[in-house]
Amino acid sequence: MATRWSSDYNIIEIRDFDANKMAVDYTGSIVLLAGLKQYGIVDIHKSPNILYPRICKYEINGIEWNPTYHNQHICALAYNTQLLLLNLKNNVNFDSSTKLRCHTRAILDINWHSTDPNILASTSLDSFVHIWDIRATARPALSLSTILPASRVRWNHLTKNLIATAHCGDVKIWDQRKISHPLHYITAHQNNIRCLDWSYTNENQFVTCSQDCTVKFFEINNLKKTENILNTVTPVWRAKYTPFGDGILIVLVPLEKRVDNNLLLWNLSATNTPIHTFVGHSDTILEFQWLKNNEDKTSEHELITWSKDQTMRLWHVVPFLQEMPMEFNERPCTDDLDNYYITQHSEISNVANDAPNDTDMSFENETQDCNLSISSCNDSYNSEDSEEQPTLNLHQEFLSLNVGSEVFIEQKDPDRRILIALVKINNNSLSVHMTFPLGYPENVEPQFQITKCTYDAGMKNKIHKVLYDAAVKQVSKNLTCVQYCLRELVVSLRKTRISFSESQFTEDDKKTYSIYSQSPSHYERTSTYMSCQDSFNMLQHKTMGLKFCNNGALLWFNTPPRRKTDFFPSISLQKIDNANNTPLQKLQPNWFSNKHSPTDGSNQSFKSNRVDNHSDKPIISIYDVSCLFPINKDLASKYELDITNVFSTCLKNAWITNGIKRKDLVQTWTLAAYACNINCNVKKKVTSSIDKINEWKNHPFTMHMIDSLISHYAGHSDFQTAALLCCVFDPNPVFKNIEQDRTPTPVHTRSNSLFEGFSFSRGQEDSNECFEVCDQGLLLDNSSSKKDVYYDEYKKTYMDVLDNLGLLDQQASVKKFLKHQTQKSSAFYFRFIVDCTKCNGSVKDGYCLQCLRFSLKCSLCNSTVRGASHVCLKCGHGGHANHLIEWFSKETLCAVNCGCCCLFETMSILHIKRYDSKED
Amino acid sequence: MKIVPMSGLILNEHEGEVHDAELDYYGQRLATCSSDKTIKIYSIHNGNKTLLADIKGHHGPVWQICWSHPVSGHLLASCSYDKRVVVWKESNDWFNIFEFTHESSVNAVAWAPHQHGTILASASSDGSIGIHVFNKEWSSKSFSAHHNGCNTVAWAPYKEQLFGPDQTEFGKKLVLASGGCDNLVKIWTAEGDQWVQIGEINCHTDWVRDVAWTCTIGDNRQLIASCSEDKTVVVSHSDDYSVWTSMRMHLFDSRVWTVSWSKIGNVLAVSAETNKVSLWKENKIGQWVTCSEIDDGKGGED
Repeated sequence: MATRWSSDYNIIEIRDFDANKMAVDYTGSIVLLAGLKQYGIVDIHKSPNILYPRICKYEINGIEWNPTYHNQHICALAYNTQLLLLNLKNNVNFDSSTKLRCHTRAILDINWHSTDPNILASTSLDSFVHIWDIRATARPALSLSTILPASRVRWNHLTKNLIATAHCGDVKIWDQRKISHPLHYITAHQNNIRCLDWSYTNENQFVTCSQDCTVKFFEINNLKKTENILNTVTPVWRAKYTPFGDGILIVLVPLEKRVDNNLLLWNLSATNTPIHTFVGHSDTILEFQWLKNNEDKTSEHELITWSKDQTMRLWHVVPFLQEMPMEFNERPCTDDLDNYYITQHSEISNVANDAPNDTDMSFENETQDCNLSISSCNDSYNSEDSEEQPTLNLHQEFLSLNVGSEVFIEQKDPDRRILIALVKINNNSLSVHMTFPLGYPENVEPQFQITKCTYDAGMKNKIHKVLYDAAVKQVSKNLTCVQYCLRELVVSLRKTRISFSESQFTEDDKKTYSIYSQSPSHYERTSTYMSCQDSFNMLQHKTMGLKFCNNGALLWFNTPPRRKTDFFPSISLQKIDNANNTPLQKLQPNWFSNKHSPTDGSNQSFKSNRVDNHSDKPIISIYDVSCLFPINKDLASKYELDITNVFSTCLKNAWITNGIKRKDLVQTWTLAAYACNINCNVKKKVTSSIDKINEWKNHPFTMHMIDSLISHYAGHSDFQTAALLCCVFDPNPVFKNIEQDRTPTPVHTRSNSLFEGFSFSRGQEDSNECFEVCDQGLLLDNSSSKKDVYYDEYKKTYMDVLDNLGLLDQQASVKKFLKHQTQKSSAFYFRFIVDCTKCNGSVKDGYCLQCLRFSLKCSLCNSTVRGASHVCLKCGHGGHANHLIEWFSKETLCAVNCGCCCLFETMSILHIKRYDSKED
Repeated sequence: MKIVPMSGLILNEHEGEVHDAELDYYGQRLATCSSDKTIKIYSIHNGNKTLLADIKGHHGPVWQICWSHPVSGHLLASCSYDKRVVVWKESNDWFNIFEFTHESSVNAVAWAPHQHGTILASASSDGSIGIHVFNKEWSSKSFSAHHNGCNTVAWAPYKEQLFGPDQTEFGKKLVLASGGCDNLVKIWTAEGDQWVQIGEINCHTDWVRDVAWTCTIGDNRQLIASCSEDKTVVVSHSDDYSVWTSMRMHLFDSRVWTVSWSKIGNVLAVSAETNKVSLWKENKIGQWVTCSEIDDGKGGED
């Protein structure tokens, strides 16, 4: 066993053992590592292998070796409610173990008495702190009862009776001779205490570190005196006194994406800056412990650290550093010391600077590396000159540098006081060379040099000015400026890029941009903007919202921060009746009573959903708010649209509306039926028309009434009723001509003039004009075309809704009644010869590779047809086979209003001879 | 009268907050996006959900998603903090078929009415609006719209014959409204190759968070609802896209996050920061009144 350490530190890499706890024994050579449910020991001088790995049933919460010579072979291990005392025999094996059981809940922390070899303290969630004498293991020797469970327990290093416990943010100091009450109760931190340690030099001093980013020092004799507080940027994981001098070593919980996995050594009499940083671990440091050099009292103190990167590192603390904390506040460094670290420095500076970022350093590299990066000494020396200034030193500043993705730090050397940053914005890049004069940052700004710049000279000057302004602004307040300068630079470069590229835009834009490029405060403004966008907008994005979906449902999503049960709110419509006095609202109770059963049903299904208990998961509620709108899905699927007998259609519709208890609509349809009842009109003898079927239509009152009914319903957004009335009372004359317009035997010629699809029947282009021949005597035709536009719009709106509801047949039925048939492009011609109309190229599987599009669209659902299709060979209209089968099971005419009897025509084309012979 | 949800879903699959959710055209599929950088697609049936797809590909929180009309093939557009707009297409799995990178976080996406073709607009914190058109292949164009960042976009509804046959082309124009951090709502239209501003609504005193556009059927009034961090919702109407008359609809207790028009009937759904959601409707004398409230989880259901 080596008794002396070389000046290099040792790295022991322990693979495949995911440990998070470490304890070093009295000799400093046996390390116990414990992972979640396993533990094992390592002899750090012999091999990096785990000896005697054991599996433990429960999670291990605490391990500690007895720190005294007599019981140096005993190790305490806490898991769940039990304490296990392991006996290590001749460094060979754990030969026996003793169980200490008394805690009723999980043990949180254990600590051996620092001088008495038989005393052990343990704290548990059951709110007791037990003090055990391991010679009598049946029950604890003493029990301290606390209300809050203690998370940490620590014996005083110097006196034998004092013990400190940490409860959340509070600390209690106990004397084991008087266990009924704590001696002191100290409210130390606002947040959980992570670690607690007694001083090695003063029995009354202890240190706590906490989640609230502070390290606090207390003196129990004088608690009123505000002790030193060390503020850090991140929560502090561990803080322990140094066994030498007046120092403290802390581990910070690193921020995400940062690699400052460093141990910081602070001098307590000058807490401005850490005096030393132990650099090397590539991941979070989990535990560190001082090694006692019991065998060789002359040797230096050593430190052992265990990190998440699964390496154990041994650090050799050189004498000057050990003494420094003591000397530091007495006198400045001696010349000898200066020489010392100048020579040291020259050896290590290269590696030390790379170390924090370089995670995959090779082993050789590390062993050659001196264990200390003394670089910071220089700065601490400076900071000493400038006494109690609350400034970060350069080393600190470089470490905490957090620049955006556009900036790459090429080199940072706190010793030579330079920093080189490469800034890349879009396609431009520049390199900023910063040198920091000695006084920095106390009103002394760094010098900037811009090299490798892809911008022109004018821009270069501008950049220089940006940097200089930003730096002066910061250092005038004695603040560090590197990060600020670089961010300002990025922001201004982004802006200037925009102002260049946008310059061809309108005058207004130019003006506003020129403000940006001229105003001296421009950088401030842009920086507030950028910070707003980058942080504020990010944070403030909505986490809940309410939106209407296409099919009329209302969607509500939310991520509630905390809720007790899964709760899907209901919508109450209490105010709607007072809001406005329309038929819609009047009818709602009736209407809704019918809707009740389905909603009840869904209510049950949602109740069954509630069983699972995920209290902060986002939730989504979908409401059927169709009762807010007058379009009814049931009606939509049932309504009749047979215009050959308007009277009976109206009566049927009245009957249908009665079925779903819409009494107002029953009335409307009945009224409509009466309006077109021939008998009724004939009785009154107000018509002189010869056309018996249409004679009622010439009645002035009837037309006005129907018109006003339509506009009434449209005015209340009931486009369903409005559109249907339009259709029934104002049909397209096209139907009349369909039968006569049958062209004789079609000739198979492909018409190239068609701009979409193909046709193979002659006369296709003219067919639309043929259909224009219409019977002007029909219904409301004498009205202006403006009315047609309105009526078409109602129909289109209703069609849209039907489309959303998936009622394609009904949609197509309504579509036939449109006055202004949608432009030709929406009529879909069938393609039989596989050619593309656009490029006349060949088409494969209905897809033209040159035009990159599908050529066939379904006349019912308007979407592209792939797969099974059916097409009329005469009119060329067709679409999805299943849609058309459905359509032609009820209808004979084409779904597009072309008047073609598709089935008949197709048949006639395919069996042309038989057809002909039949005709003959 | 109370309406209980048709389906109440807990999105266990999401690790973070959900920022947007939307049902597809036929109401069959629900897409949600979250700060866990994923988009998830569920099928909704009888109050139960089935996870159909989990789309990963964004490198930051996904702010908004938007389904296209089935005519364009049920595309899904998404935008994220990672500065990208992505269009996803399903064929067995979901594929990224288009991507555009803004200079900052992209806050909103919206598909234009399908009659115009496959056109997508995106609004970014860099202040620009991107217009992405698919016509055989994707082409993108972006223009600077709001100096301090653009938060939202909304398209004007398509009208074939908006103001009678003589003005048929008017309703077919591509018109876009955007809201941004300069407290303005701006109306844009495409003139030739350029996008030019044709109107402006200046009645907010803080950032505009959401804009919704609808058009009344019959009298063809254009209605824009805009909500803002100044806690107000403003409804503006116009007959010609350029001259807008605004009216403050309501002053809420907290910042208003979303506004949404119903497809018919012009009911406005508003949600504000403090989980306050409500539905609004215009009464006969032109006042906007709330016609319902959604209980925000304090009581149980009755």
